[in-house]
Amino acid sequence: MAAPLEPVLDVNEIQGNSLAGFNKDYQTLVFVQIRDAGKFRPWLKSAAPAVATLAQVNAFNRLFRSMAAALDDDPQGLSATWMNLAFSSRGIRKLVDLPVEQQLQDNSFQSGQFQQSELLGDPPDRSGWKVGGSEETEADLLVILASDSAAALKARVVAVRRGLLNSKAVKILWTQAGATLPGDLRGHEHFGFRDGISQPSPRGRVSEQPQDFLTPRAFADGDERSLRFARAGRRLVWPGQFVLGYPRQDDADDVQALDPVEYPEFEPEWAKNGSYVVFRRLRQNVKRFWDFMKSEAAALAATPEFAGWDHVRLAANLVGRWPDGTPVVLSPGGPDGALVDADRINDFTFREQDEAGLRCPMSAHIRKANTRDDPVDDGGPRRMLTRLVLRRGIPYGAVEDDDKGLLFVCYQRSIAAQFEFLINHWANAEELPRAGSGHDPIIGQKPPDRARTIHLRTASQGNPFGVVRTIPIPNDFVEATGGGYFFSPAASVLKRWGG
Amino acid sequence: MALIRFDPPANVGDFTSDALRAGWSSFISDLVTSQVTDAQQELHSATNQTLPCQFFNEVTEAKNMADRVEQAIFWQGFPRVLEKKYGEGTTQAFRAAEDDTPTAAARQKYQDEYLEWRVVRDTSPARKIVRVEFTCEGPEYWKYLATNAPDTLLKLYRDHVDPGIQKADLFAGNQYNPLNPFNTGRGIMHLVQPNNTLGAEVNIAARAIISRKQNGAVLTDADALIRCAEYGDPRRASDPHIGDVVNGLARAGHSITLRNPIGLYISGIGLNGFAKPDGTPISANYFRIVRGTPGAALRAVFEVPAGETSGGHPFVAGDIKIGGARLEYGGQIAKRITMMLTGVACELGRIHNPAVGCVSSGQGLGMAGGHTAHLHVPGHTRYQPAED
Repeated sequence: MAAPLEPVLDVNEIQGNSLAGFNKDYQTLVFVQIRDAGKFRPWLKSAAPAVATLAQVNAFNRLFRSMAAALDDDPQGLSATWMNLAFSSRGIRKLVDLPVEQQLQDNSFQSGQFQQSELLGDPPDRSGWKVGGSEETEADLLVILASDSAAALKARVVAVRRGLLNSKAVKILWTQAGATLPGDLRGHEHFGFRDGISQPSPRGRVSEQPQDFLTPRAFADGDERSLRFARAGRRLVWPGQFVLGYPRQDDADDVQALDPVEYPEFEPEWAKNGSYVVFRRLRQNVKRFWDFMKSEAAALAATPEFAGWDHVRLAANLVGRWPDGTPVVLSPGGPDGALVDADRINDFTFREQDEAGLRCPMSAHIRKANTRDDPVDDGGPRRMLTRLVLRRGIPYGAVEDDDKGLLFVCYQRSIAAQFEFLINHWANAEELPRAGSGHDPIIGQKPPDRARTIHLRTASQGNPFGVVRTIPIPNDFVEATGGGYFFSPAASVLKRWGG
Repeated sequence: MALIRFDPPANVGDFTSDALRAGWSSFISDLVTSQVTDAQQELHSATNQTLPCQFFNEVTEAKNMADRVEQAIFWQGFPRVLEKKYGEGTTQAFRAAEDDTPTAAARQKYQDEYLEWRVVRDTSPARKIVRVEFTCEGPEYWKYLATNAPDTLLKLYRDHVDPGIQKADLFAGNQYNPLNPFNTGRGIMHLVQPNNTLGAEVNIAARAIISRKQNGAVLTDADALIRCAEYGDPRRASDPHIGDVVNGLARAGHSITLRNPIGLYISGIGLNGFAKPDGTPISANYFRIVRGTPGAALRAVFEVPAGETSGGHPFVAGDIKIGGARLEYGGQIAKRITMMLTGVACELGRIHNPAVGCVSSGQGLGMAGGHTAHLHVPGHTRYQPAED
């Protein structure tokens, strides 16, 4: 099969955090309410040229990668500070008067995350949220600032905030700092697990050159794997899944793009090169998490099927990876340093290696959130590829803080079909994506009337499906404490809105 | 304990005599056996051998049930075909799935995940939804009632659709009309979309037990399998997924059948995010099971319970919001419904059949050219692609 022709991305229009990703150790998110659109426009006009485009971010990332490859280490002194902007549906309405046929089509975006909150499993009382917990505290604008240098980021945050306040057009609702965790937890989240390992690899080229791909390719043209993978374990997904106006993934064909004639795009023309952005401020109750793991593992270890299990093994089974990232399905007994290099750490399947969930529980977070080759209720595994989102989040809070967790940020072409589907349809469902899944133990939020439940299976003589141990999880480990739905428009649209 | 009889879907109590129960059991038994025979024929054509079939009739074929396990198979109630065409959660997708035509044209064309619904609206200018009625009852059951217990059929229509219905509304002479007005434009009693049948369900399960290979490799992908074996519409959620799970069990070496009582069921609904006008969540009784049982419902109605108020005022279903969206289409509820059938697997490892080629290639049926054999079972309609 010939490799499909990948589109040339409009690198000067697409904001850089979507397809390339800032990939910085320091991020600050500023949540803004627009009070006076007329006075806000000059700020937007002045800010627009500073918005980091895909061209800029990709150029930096390529430079960084080439230096890192030469040094076999991160380059010192190479630094960039980026800014991207995204508006909520209310924010857009304040800035432009769009006729009905020109409005963004995602109904969840138009409703806003506050209205959609209970669909996500959030409890009715959101008074403790830092942003987005009520109509009054919903943000109109999200400013994403990121840098390799904490000092440079701080200076930029100060400057941006000053500019916003000087406009007399806005109220700054909340300013949220985030940072890569220090020391051994670098690249990990607050429960202690390595995070952000599995991302879809967007197809697309950054110039007319036939091989000038945005996502580097490890397999040569002609190698069968190059049709589907950027490198081992990294699935190629059409960029239209993350940015509007580009070829989309076909839920029936994992190589060729969706036919745009038979399946036209419904979003308005002006939205091309833009993305929907979901933000969730996820507070992690680390003590509760590990207390549960310890007490539950002690109970398990007293049974013959789970003899020898400790709290780390239980937690790893509920995540689907050991803290160092080793996939549990590849190494159920313990972490394996040989399996955490870039080519092995994401190169696995579920059903092919573990149909019954005896090695990695079907309830495991990474198996619920990305089913890979498992059977799924909405058709088949190829449809899973249309569900994937690009995650651009970062931890917040210091290890010793009580309020710490994850600033979850993801990019997609449809909040309803991607982010909300993954949370509402799968993570918070007990019997989906298939019977025996259980609720997502890590990010799931419990239904109002009962505990979440997960299932562990161990191999058993004469029973190919194994023996099931059902474990209720009475309280959530992760709670949302802020959120918003935004749209990150093309650079020229920002300029136009700025007047 | 061996199964001695096939029971009506969800064990509904419509049958008033042993003769009726026995007759239905015979019907299902014949249906299952004919599918076993067809699958064996297909295997024979492909391999020139008489091979044992991994799909079996639980009443007529004794199996060792020592390792019996059940496998529930779930899928979404809203048509995947429309989501692919119009996007998920979009107004266009919901609007395309239903209409007010006297023949319920959109329902007959698009509601193809074994769940169908009818929307009843009020007379206000906004035409707000008052009630949405859901069914997943196969037409074969109702044709059986029509032939063998027409008074029962009439009574059910009167109880569930309209007390004023006359026999002549449902029958032309002695011939039951499944597309009568009270099952299309003026009511809903059972499934009418041509592919939503018990026969299709059994057919998929039976044919999916055949392992397939293509280009020398055994197929394990849901989409590749259904296109190769042609046991259903690859554009749906239900058919590919049902086939996927069954084929996986068969590849592992199990013998498989459908759990008694054989039927299609509404397993559950997710009502989180549904709110009354005052913002408070609705309770579970807004989705009332009318036939069948919780976890295996055949008919359900979504409406505001009598006497319910919001902020002191009465309200209708169309005043309910799901998240930030007003309830305007029955499909918004269908999207939250999970459908189910249950398979039974046993005798792991007893049968090891080879994988065969695809149907269209002719290899699957030992025929040259691309023509597929028509595996027709009386009273059952096989996969027919819906025109767009």
